[in-house]
Amino acid sequence: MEMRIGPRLAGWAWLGGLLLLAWLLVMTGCGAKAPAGQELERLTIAFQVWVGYGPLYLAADKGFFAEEGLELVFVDEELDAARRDAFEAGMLDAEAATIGLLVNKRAVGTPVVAVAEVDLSLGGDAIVATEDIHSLSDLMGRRVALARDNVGEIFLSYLLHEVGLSLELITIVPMSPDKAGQAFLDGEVDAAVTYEPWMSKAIARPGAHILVSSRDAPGIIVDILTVREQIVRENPAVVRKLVRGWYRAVEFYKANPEEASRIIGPHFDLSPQQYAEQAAGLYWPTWEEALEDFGTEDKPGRLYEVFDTIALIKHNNGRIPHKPQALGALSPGTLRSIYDSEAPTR
Amino acid sequence: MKMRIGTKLMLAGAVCVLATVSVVSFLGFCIGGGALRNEIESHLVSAAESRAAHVGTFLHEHEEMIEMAATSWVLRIGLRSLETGAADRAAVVQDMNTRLLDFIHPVEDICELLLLDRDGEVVASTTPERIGLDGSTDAYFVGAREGPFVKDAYVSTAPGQPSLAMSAPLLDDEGGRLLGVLVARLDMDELNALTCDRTGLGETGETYLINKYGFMITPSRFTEDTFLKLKVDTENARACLADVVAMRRGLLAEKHEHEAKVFVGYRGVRVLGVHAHVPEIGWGLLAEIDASEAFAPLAKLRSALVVFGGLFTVAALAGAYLLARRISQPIHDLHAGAERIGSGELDFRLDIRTGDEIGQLAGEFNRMAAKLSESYASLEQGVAERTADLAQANEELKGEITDRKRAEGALRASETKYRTLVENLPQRIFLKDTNSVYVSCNRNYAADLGIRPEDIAGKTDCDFHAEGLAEKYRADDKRVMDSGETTDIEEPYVHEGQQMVVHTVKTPVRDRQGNITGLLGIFWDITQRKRAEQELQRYAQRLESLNAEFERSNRDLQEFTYAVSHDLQEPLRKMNTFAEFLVEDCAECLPENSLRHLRTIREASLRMKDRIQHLLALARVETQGGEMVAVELRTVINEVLEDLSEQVRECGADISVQEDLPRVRADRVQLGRLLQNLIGNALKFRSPDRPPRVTISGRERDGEAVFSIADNGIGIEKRFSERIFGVFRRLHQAEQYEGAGVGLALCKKIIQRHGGRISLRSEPGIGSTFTFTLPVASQGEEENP
Repeated sequence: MEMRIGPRLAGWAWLGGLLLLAWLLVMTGCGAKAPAGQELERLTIAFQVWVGYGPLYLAADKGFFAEEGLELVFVDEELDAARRDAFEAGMLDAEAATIGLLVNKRAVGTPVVAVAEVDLSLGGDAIVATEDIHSLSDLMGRRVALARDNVGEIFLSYLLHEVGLSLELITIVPMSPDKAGQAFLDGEVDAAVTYEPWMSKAIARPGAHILVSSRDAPGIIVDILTVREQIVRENPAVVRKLVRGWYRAVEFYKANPEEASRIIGPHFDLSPQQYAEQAAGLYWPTWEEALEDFGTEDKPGRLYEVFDTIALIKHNNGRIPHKPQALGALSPGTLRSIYDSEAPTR
Repeated sequence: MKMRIGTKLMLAGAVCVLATVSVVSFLGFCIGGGALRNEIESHLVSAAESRAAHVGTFLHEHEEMIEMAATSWVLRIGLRSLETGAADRAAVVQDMNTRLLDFIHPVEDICELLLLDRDGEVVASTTPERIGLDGSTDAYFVGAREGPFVKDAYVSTAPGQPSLAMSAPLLDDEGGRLLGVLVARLDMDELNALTCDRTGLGETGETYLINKYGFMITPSRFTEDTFLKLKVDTENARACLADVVAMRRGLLAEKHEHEAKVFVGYRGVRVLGVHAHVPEIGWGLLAEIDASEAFAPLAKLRSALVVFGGLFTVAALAGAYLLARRISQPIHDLHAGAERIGSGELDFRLDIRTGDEIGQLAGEFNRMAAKLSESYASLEQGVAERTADLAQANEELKGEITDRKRAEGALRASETKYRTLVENLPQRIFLKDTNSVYVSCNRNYAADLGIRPEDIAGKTDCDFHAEGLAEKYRADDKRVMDSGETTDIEEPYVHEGQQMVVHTVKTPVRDRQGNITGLLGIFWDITQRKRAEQELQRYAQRLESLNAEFERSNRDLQEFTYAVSHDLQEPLRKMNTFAEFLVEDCAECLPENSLRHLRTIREASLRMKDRIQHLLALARVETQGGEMVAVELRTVINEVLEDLSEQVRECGADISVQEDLPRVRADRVQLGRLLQNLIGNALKFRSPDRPPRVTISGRERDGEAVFSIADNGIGIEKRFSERIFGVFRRLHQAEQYEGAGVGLALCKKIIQRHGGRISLRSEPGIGSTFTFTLPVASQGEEENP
């Protein structure tokens, strides 16, 4: 008998084959195996909550890091001393922090170096004060909330230092920047050194006003990316991935501020508009600007000066046992080399 | 692509089996495996969550304890005293140390307590050697300046011990000014005990804590010295830490569902793991168990399903093969059979006895093949027959044509003959239609009527005969045509004024369909014959009366004979008696002549008496005959032979009688006399040269019994063969053979009375044979002994 296999028979055969295959897969447990994927290098990063670090979330959420081959693991660690301990224990790989905190760490020998300049506070940090405080000198004897040995202290110290005053003359109520903002709002203190997003909340107190902001002293509050020295030394490629991801996010933000704000805002519990407003108080230098601020070992850039100034103030304030050297704490080589292997994607 | 139906069936069966086995196994594994997996996972989840809850409680309790201690009046007064330098420092420190020891005493897992002043210098401690150390940059100091703080797990510098620190600020009552920080350093033993309880976790299960950086802070079940040295960079750990971050940011609720997953554990082996959180400090609690152990029941289930499925598949495939073969083989046979029959092998038959539809189909196929074969054979035969028929028909047709030509010729000749015959027959012949109107007639009839034959058409009997006669003819015609039968009629006929009698035969004439279309009549003159008949009838009547007269005279003669015979005896007896008296009385007185005459008279009277006796006997045959009954002749012969036994013995006769003689209807007494006379004659007229041999035989012939009695006696000449049956006829001298010459006459008389015949056939010196006939007794007639 001669007969061709009809489509139906072929269909049955296919169905049977598929079922058999499915059965074998299930029975042999292949289906339970994890899908093979691209293995990303991972870096653990921690920082205090600060809107200037938003591009880190943007780069993560937009997949810029992943495209670079990097997975950035975010760890919430508000306390700088804890981050320092974590760096020293080798548990933390990178952080975004003010240059003052780098000074602190370098002063105690924490093995971290700055690899990129991330933002400049341009009004994002401020001293909010009651209506009867009109100048820095009005702060003398008043209760001022600030984070001890933090950006607030540096900022205020710097400002006082500029006008010949001292931190000693002020009643410092030490508390973290978020609590400082809340304490001012609650009327517990007469002024608070804080930054966004708490600054905007604190200003809601009746009669409150911004006594002075980082806009009035641009360049002193500088945020940097620091990475554990061992990583910079042993795996500079992963550091370059981190920095490239950062600058891609910065460029993306500048090109697409609304979308970027929409992505970043929720990480700070802010609406896109709120985030955009607060981000207006800072400036994200471009890679080229950062390169310029870093300079080279032979011709150090502006950041070296800032580092030294802060080190001086801290030392004067007794916050650090000795003044660390800017040279070595800043690593302009990484920044310069991040696009060496390939053309910048912009 | 060619594929046999068996292969297709098997393929379909295999697909069905595989599909079934796959679906059943898949469902079995999904359902059973799912339930098993759920149980294993929920066990792991509850282990993780309960331990995380214990750790959280542990931390919370100790935090509260430290916070409470930090409110100690002694410590705060002491710190203020040291700050102001108002009191004896050593005494104050001593008090504070004592106070710290009081705190630590009931709490075993607090290794030490440190009291730092507001600048971070240790001013009091349960470990005196710590006093004076700078703790200003330590996280527990920095963190606690702004409130209660838990320093993540770390290795304490002094004893090099894995530790956890909790610190709380000591605040001035006035304005909340920071006076110092109280730090409690705890060893990890209690936490380890809480975390690493492996109850219910089998051989490979474990629970451990990781800090917010993913480093293990409680011991591993498998790896030594992992405290802050082993980074658990696993999927589970990363998910856990991501949850921690999300919870801290409020993106994820602290209470949320934890789901177990399979991933590669920190040892590089696949584990089933789940995480829980200690949100107070950002720790993750991971519970993991090797997948091989966790899913051992699943693996067993899977193995069982594989084995079962495999066996079932093999068995089902074998079954499918057999079934396919069982189904396809008859179809194959059917196909082969169809091909063989298609190739002309019409006698081929299938031998399929499956009993199912295929079997029925095969039966139908065979029947069809048989019918086909039969039809083919009958068709062939039919064709042959038809061909033969056609050939024959052709031949016949040729013959018929020839015959028809011949017949036409013959018909013409016959018609001529017939016409000649009809025309020349002396009889008158006519043909009428159904209305008795003449159609034609022969020449003789036309001549009788005085017309030409051709003129008769259209005429009726009224045109030729008197009204009454014509009416009779017409009525006869009608009766014949109504009855449809040929009828003979003797009727009057008038010709040339002469009254005649004619015999007319009228017969209806029919067409091919049998319908009567007319009547054919033929008649001839029987006037002479009728006259002769009448004459003959007159003679017969005369003969009849003569016969009666003869019988009457015959009877009278018999009666006369009897009467004479009877009446003559008396005078004879008297003549004899008186003659005897004379002889006796006058013997001596009468002369010798007279005596001699007297003796002659007497002898003559005695002879006369004897003859009269015989005549009487003859007469009595008719007058005193007995009843005719069925008689077994053999019985009568035996009785006769018994009577003649002495005579038979004397002459040494050999008498043979045929066994099966016919039964006859006869007068038994007369029959006995007949046989006695005939057998007696055979013995009597025996040859002196040889012993007598008598043979009696008989048979039925033409409805009568014919008997013969043959002997080897002296015989007689042929010319005497009739004469010897006469009365008183003798061929021999009385001295040679005694007898009165009446025996055979009596025999003839007896035979005649029975309606039979008797005859003799004899040859002198050889023997004689008497043959006689008698009526046969009817079948059911009883013999009358």
